[in-house]
Amino acid sequence: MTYSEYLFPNDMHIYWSLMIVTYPFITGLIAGAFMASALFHVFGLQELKPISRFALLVSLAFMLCATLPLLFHLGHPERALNVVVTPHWHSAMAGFGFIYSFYLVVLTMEIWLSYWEEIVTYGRTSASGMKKTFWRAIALGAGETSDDIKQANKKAIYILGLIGIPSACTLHGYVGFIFGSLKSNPWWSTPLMPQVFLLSAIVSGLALLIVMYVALSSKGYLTWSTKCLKTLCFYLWLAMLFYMISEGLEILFFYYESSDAWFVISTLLFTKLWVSFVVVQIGIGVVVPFTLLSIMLFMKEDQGLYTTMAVIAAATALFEVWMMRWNIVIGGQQFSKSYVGFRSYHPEWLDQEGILTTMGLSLLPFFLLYVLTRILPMREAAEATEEEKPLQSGEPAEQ
Amino acid sequence: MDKKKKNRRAFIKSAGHALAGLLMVVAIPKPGWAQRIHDIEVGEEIPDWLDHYWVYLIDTTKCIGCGACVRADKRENGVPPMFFRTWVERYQITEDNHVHVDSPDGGYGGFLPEDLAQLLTSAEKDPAGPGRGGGKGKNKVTKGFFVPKMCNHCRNTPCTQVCPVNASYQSPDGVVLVDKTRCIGCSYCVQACPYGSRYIHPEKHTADKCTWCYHRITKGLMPACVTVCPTGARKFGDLKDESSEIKKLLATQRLNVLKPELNTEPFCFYIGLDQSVR
Amino acid sequence: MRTPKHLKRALWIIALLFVAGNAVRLLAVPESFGQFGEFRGAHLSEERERDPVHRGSEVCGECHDERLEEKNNGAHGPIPCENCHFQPYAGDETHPEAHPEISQSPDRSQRACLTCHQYFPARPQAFPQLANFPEHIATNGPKLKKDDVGAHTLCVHCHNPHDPKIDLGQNG
Ligand code: HEC
Ligand code: HEC
Ligand code: HEC
Ligand code: HEC
Repeated sequence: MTYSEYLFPNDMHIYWSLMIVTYPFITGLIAGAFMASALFHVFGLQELKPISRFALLVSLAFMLCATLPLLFHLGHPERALNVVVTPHWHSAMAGFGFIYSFYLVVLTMEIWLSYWEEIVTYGRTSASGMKKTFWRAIALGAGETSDDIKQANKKAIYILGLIGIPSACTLHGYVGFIFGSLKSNPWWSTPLMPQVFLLSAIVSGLALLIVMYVALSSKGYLTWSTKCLKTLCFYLWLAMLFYMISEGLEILFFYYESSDAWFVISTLLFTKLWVSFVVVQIGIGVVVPFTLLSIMLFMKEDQGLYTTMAVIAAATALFEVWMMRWNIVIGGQQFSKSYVGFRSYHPEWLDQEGILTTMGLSLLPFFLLYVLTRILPMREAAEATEEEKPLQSGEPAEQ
Repeated sequence: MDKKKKNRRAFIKSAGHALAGLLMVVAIPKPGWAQRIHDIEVGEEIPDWLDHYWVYLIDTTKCIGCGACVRADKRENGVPPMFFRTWVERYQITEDNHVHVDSPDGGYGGFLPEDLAQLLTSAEKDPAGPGRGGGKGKNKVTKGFFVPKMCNHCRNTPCTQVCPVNASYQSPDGVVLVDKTRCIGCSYCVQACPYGSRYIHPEKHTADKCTWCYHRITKGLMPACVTVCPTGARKFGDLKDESSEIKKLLATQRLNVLKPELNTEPFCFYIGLDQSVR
Repeated sequence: MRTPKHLKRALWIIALLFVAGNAVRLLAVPESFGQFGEFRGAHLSEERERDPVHRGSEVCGECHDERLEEKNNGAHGPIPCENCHFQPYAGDETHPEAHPEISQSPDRSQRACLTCHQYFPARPQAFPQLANFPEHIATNGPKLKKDDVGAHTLCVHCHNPHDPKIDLGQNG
């Protein structure tokens, strides 16, 4: 039985547009960057030390912007808090307020503790009284930096990292759940969705860190270490591998089960999503970085070429993740619930949820990151490793 | 070593306390939530809602596709242009087993062509294919019917399930409603509805949908679309009313629902629904 | 070793924020929330407050009683007046000012009748419908035995919309 093109009359509109593409992209970066820092803080991967604190700042900068795309999207942003006042526990979306605030607390605590020594030092040595009070307030009136305290802080950071990993996963994975749990939409409805989202989040987080690490360390803001880059690239490769397997399995199952869903999805893939999914996301976004990263596995990391390839691979991977968000969010709405009608989406420039807003919201985290790094240093505290300790002990801790 | 252990224990303890606190607040019953429907005393304040359980029945074999229901619905509920709480689809299956589906403007003006002149002057039936004529050859329409559609007021509701703020809910008498003063306009419910029955109101920016004319049925009237239906294709009634016509029909007719495979348990039943209906 | 001072304080602040946040959250819950289930109970009565717009033929019949009777006895019995008279009666006493559209212009064009009576392959075949309008006039016009048949192109020229069935026995 074949059908003529038919859309349900209410299905003429695309309700989830650029803002909903931007939102999971941002939460993905939050989760990914946090994972990268957890590799050091929790799993003790010493190679990643140069970016471990910076990654937390990246995570925070994006975290502070994560709600904005949602607010721009809502029909009634002024009622946004209803989601915590009268939450409906059967809705994945209702968890947002709670997961978000929980993770925000964990993240700020973790940053606060990893910068503890700086905070205490600033509280003592800042020039102006205002600044002193500010830093002392941040230190909550305490000012101990003895070895015991450092040890306790390290423990706390470790535990917070342990808590932070699942909550970062939840913060992002639940977005996957939001899409994956809708039986009305065959392109979304798959239990692999949270996993695909999570893996691509790690890809995007690592990719962003690679780009920023190369850029910032070449200007001397971060300590350059080829080991660090190599480790980041390896984990990016690993995440991409798992991501590709999940995404591939998803499509393969749709194809093999060949149910009603494949009827829609095959048409979608060969018409509306041919360019953006098959050619751009898979053809450029997956093949290019994965090939480069695979070659780089066998290369010496102290070559200029290695760094160049790393940047290219990371940039394309980042682009791939953005396209993946696009293809899932927009692609899932490009067919009608009748499953036999298709529609196009062309974003507006000046719309409330348009291209300019998207660009603004994508740049805002970088601005916030800049502000954050003006307050807190990007570099790792030098005294954290054993060998460097004697150099630092010139300033004796009080109390 | 001892110190370390103690330290860890202290942390685990405080973390445990925090977690317990979180769980407690999550579990604290919200004001009145514990009260269930049957616990409520039916007083003056609470009218006869609980004495009803509404159900809708559509007989596709009777529908003539005049669109009176769509027009009445728009007037009754002020539905904005290009959005529909109810609409009518026309299915035409041709000799080559091709299904033509259309619903021009949701069936608002019926299915007549824009320009009537040809119809009124020419004696020839439309030869080009399915449409008002009947087609020729492999385009000949072998089977055709109209299918009115609307919110199915499902029991296993995919749309209220995903409403994050409890703005959309199922009323005690079985009607799925949207509280427009609580709705945040996230359009998750629009995505979750497999039938395309919901939309975001372009001016109010909240979710909007068929209410089975809740303001009419609670006053003893039929929904507007049922009132105006000239052939009785649309039927509505109360399951708790033992003598109602709809109870008899539901008990005796062969029924189907839309997209039964999704297990949404629609409470809008169809008589004579073809398998080609989407 | 005891838990460091700053950590203790931080945990206290978090606990405080947690309690305060939840207190505010619970205070903001609307009054009737949870009255009948997990929704704002008052919305049910708000939803039923609105006045019905379509009142059905009986309301028109209060004044146009012969017309109502005529219609109810005819083939168009099940069709409410509002279907054809477009703007429904809002229950106001000051008709026709209250709903000028009703009195001014019921749609007399063929379109008004053909939305229901044009032949479509999708229409139930038992329903009376016109497959071919020119032919309908050509064959049925003469049966009426009126002089100016050629001018009769509107359905309402030959059919009474309120009682459309033409009993040829009387005419012929
Ligand atoms: C309160 C009494 C009343 C009710 C109720 C009422 N009408 Fe009338 N209607 C009148 C009067 C009075 C006139 C004016 C008669 C005249 O001008 O000859 C009228 C005239 C009309 C006309 C003809 C106007 C014309 O140009 O000749 C139409 C059509 C009409 N009504 C339709 C309706 C319909 C449909 C309803 C039900 C929704 C309705 N009316 C309900 C009192 C009423
Ligand atoms: C099938 C459609 C239809 C229905 C149903 C219908 N009408 Fe009419 N009515 C018409 C049309 C068409 C005219 C205009 C007739 C003409 O101009 O010759 C009309 C004219 C009238 C007039 C003006 C009288 C006249 O002859 O000029 C009144 C009054 C009226 N209708 C009242 C009613 C009432 C009351 C009802 C419900 C009981 C009703 N109509 C139901 C189609 C309908
Ligand atoms: C809302 C839909 C609707 C509209 C508009 C409508 N009709 Fe009807 N008509 C019906 C229905 C329903 C019947 C009853 C059919 C039956 O008895 O099976 C009917 C019956 C008839 C019959 C009797 C047919 C028979 O042999 O029993 C005639 C003649 C007729 N209509 C003419 C008209 C004319 C002329 C108009 C325009 C003024 C008109 N109709 C507008 C729905 C409509
Ligand atoms: C020239 C006068 C005339 C005009 C104009 C006219 N009709 Fe008729 N129509 C008749 C006559 C006479 C009959 C009765 C035929 C019979 O019973 O044999 C009839 C019968 C009908 C019937 C029922 C019988 C059948 O054909 O199944 C319908 C329905 C109908 N007409 C609809 C319409 C509609 C709709 C229009 C406008 C588009 C219209 N008519 C215009 C004269 C007319």
